[in-house]
Amino acid sequence: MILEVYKQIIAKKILFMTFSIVLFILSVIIGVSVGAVRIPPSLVLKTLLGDSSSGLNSLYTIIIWKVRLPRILMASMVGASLAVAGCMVQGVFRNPLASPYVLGMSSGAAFGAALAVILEIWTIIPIPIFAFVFALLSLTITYVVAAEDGHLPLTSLLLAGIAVSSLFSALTSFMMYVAGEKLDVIVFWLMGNLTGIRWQEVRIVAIGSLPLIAISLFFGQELNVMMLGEDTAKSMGVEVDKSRRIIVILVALLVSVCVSYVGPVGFVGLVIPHMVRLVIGPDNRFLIPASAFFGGAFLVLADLISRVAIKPAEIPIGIITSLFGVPFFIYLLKKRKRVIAHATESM
Amino acid sequence: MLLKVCDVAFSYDSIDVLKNITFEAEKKRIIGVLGPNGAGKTTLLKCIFRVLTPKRGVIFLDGKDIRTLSRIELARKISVVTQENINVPFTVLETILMGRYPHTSPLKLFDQDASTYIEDVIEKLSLREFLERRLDEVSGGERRRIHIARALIQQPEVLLLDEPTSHLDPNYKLQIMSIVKEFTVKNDLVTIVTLHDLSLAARFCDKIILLKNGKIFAAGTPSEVLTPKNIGEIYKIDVKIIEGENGEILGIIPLKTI
Repeated sequence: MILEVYKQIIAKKILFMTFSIVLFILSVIIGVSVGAVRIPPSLVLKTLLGDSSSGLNSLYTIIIWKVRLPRILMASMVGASLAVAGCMVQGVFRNPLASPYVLGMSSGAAFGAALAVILEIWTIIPIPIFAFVFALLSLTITYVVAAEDGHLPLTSLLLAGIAVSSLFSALTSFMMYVAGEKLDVIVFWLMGNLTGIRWQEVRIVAIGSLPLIAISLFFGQELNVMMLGEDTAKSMGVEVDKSRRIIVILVALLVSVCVSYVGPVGFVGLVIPHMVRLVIGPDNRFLIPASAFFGGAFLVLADLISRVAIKPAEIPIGIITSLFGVPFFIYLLKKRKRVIAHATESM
Repeated sequence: MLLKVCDVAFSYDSIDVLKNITFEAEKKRIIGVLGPNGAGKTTLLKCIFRVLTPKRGVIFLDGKDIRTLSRIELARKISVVTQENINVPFTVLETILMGRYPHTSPLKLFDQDASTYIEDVIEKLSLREFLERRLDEVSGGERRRIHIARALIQQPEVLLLDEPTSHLDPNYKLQIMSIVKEFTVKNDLVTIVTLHDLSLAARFCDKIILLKNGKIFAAGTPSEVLTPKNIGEIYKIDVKIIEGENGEILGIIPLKTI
């Protein structure tokens, strides 16, 4: 009987998860098919499934494999990673207003990128490497500042993240101030973009992010228990401090890998988990995978808009995600004031 | 006997919160820990489920020092209802089922082996009609019952309840204590509960430990410990004690502060 009730509770979640997967697949097909050159979805599907017998136009094949697919796969992985990171950060902080950027890595990455541009070493060492190193540096500072003999108190973690974030933002602003004619490159990077992504970069980000997403799936129930309160979680067998450390590091790595390659794409990590949670509830065992697919689909579609909105020019994807994310976020704020009030009370 | 607390002391920085706490707790018995605010009741519970580490002394569970157990091993033996009251919008059933956490793999959604027991707990705590509601949509009394159900579903040997009846109406108070009593006896539990309600403690506890400034002021059966003299000393109030035909305490009525 209880099992029946439980099955009813999870049926909705499984349905939504299926919907997210279908949406994701559709968005990839549409993303590949729409652009400066329009390719019929049926052809896209055939090419993606490796069917070369039907006399496919070789120009289409090149556009699909060399230009659009790497870019779209990158968008999916970044969207998925940021959404998963968002779920975990919101779970750990028990606060739906937390974004994966609260820990300061994105500001660190931005500074690293700006520095690489100013020092003109980005022709030797790629910008993402610089950005990644500084993202990890900012994480280290946040972590060391927040840690108190073996513990990682949430408030300290949040405050340290904000402080480190401000520090690197200030440094980035300074870099921009002295950048002169190189300002364009920095600004372009800061807005987040997926232009010119090649397979090589896709491979690196896949190696970095996919295993991290897979590991994240194992933390669902632990996060659920942690959301009941720190002492309660400990009494139920969770090593709260250890889990928190692992999750913070998982989030930091996910964010750093993505942000280093595509810049600080805003609002995905904040809004997607929140949106999915509204539909299926807070159970992280479902929330994390559903957000991964939903976030992936969201960023692929945002990328599509960024490519076609003002053809032939491209709008940086960070602008699109924020343009769509902010109104939605305000809507959520208005609608869910009560829940947010609860969550902040309990911090 | 199952739980043994030996000469436990605890201090926050230089402030002593617990001193020389020694007692034993047996199966099928409820121990009530009483004392004014700040006497160290919650700290004592936290030492027992090892959220706090005593500065001195040892706590044994079945002869084993609890420091030798991993957190998950401890969770299989001790379950707790803390005073944390967080309204994450999980459904009631999801919350209750989390009690299986120390017993099952993190990817398993439902622990089929325990389903009869889970049914039983839900039935006893009359939670059936709430199962699909969200935790932030139920009343305080219902939420307390949900957390007690969650703690029972953890299938512990020791059950710790930190003020399970505070802010509840008389009906809920009686209901919760009756259920706790029933499970304590039926499932061979060692139950330790902190309480502010003297009448309730007198009625449901087999043994009372009265704390004053972190020390055990008196310990024994309710009739031995809850005397007007002890209560006056601890709470600075005059009380009238209503006794039943066999000398058991039926109620303790506060009259005035001293």
